[in-house]
Amino acid sequence: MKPLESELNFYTKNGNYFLNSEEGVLEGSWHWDLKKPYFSGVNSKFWDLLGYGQRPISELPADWKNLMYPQDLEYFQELLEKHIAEPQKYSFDIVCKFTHFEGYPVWLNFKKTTVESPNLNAHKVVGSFSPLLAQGEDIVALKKKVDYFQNVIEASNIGTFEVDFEKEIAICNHRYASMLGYTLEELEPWNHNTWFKLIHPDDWQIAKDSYEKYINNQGIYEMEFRMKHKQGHWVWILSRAEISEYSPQGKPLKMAGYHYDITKRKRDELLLAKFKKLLEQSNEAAQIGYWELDFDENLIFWSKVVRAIREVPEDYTPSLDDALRYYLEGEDRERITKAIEKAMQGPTKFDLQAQIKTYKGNLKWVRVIGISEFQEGKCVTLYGLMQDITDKQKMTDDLMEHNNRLINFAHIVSHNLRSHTGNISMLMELAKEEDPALLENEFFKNIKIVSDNMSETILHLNEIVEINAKVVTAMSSHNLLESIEKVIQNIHSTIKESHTKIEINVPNNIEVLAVHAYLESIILNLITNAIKYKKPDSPAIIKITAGIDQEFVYLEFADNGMGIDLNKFGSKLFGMYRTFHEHSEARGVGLFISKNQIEAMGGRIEVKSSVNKGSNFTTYFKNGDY
Amino acid sequence: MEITKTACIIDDDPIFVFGTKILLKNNGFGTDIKVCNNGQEALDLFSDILSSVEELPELILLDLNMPVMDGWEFLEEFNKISNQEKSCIYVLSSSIDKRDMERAMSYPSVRNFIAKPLSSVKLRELILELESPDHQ
Repeated sequence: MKPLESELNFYTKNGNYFLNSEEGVLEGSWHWDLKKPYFSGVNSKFWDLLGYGQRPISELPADWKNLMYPQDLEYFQELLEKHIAEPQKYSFDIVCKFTHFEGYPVWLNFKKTTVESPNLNAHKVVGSFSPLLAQGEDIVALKKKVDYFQNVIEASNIGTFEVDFEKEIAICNHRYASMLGYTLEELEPWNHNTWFKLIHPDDWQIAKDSYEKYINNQGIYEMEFRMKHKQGHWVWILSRAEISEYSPQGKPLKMAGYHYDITKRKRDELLLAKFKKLLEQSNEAAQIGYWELDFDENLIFWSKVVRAIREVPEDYTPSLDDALRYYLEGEDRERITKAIEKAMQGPTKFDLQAQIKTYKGNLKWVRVIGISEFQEGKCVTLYGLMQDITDKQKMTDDLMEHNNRLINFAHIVSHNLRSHTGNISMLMELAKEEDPALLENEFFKNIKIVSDNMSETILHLNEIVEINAKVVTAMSSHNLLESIEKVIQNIHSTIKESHTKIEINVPNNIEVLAVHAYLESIILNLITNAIKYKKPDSPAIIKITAGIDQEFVYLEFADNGMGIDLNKFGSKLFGMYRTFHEHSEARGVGLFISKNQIEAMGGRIEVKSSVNKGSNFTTYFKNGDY
Repeated sequence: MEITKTACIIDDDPIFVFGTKILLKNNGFGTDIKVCNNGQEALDLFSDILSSVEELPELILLDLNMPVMDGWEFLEEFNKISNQEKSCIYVLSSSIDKRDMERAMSYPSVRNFIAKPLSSVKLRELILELESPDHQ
């Protein structure tokens, strides 16, 4: 059955229920069954009032309730339920808004009338309604205002509450409860204890204190606290309220207020505070401070760290003149002055290092970063960072000094040793010229060998010392294939004699950034090594391949030679004076020097090898085209 | 090597001096080879020579690392002495540092830089250079 049909049925069968309702001109009657909501109805007065009186029944809305504003309908049902449950506490007298057939709003005042009837079940409510129009425009305006506030409350998503101090109850709207994941019913009965019980233990005392203070007429009621959500998490609530009614003795009777969910804001605030603290801490740890020059207001701001770097007293108030004052007079101050002047001419950033003389007279190295900001073509602020880099600077200075000492030491060693070996060589030669027969003397022969070896060692030492100094100035781009071919050309006869086979698979367009002499020396060293350490019974086959790996060029030498036991010698392979084979020509310097040269040129060398299978040396050079 | 040449060794290393003297004699230099232990001694000697009728030695073999006055200081001072055109300085050093070589060659009076040890071969090359036309 459709609601309308059932409604009509109901009217016919139970028409006598309406006999008790007052037969006023404008009054109508209504009934409602809570258990069966579709068993609700109104008499024809309703339709008259809403402009449907002249319409045929077929044109009436399916359900009279459809003409009621949804919020009002909700409230209507809510109040009805409360009233039935506790008639003493909740009287049923409500104004609801309807839409007239012509489209304008009509307000009807619904009241419950007491009906004594044995046939009437406990869920049934019967009452009367009358239009507010008849009672004056004031009430319409008032109702409009109520509607307006209700809409505002709905739209602003606030939870409202009204506390009745005498009855010790509070009435809340549904949002108040839903904010915490509850329905209103779940929170009932609502009193102070319900509220306090849900407040976070850490916020409880403060909330209670300020609440009590307020109702004793001290301060205002505005606080932020956490309340427990039904699902267990905490919701940050902003709570504001005001006493709305006092007794003649000045005792608060009622208080109205609202709750607003500020969890997101609070979370952002806490996060912000956390980051701020983190930033402050890391700034302090790194000795980085913030400064700002405001040319609009002629103000200067130095953060705690900046003040600490400059060692100014706590009560020191800097002025714009102080911006430059602490930089060391002369070159340092000129540098920063120029940078600032330039930054004030156009939006730019500077990053420089300078020395300052602090308030206490200490010398410090600082790094200063500055950024200028313009508004309408005028530099309004200059802000940036200042970092104390005294330690870093000192460490760099120390390292450089240490490095210089090392280089000097190497020079002195190689120089002084050379003068001795030089003398020995010279004496040997002179002795030989005087008496050629000396050459046959075994002692003499051995001394000569020692002398020659020593000269060579010193030559190598010197080469190593020179490598790093050379690279800075002598790096240039070289065609890799051409360099390989040139080296092979130079040792053509060695390759031929040893029946070595070389397969080159190197694209002709690869350029490497290298010191020319080093590049050739490395290629030469790796090829001759492969020939030198071939298997005794078969000629060497060397495969040379190359390719590009982003900023690097790799060059690989794969041979089929004796191989090296990397487990045994791996860590020593590139050390000085390491030989791993009983070989007459093994000198153990080549790989050491090659590695040094490669590394000085910004590359690296890697090795794979297995005994009796062969070795694979891969070198990486800086890509000349990158 | 018919003409006896004059030479001066400025070096504090007695063994080098000993050997060099022999090499020089073997290669046509006269017995009158002057030896100075450092730059200062050489400067004193040269000022004595200049105030007499004698002439400065044609060949000066100069070491760099010496006590009292090293080779660099000597070169600075030597540049101030007039009548030095006839002398030809060869810097002989155990250093094979390029920077030392470049610095030595920047003095107009320095003819060449030779890395020690000195040998008969190197000395003969040196003499050929000395006799070559571009030597004034």
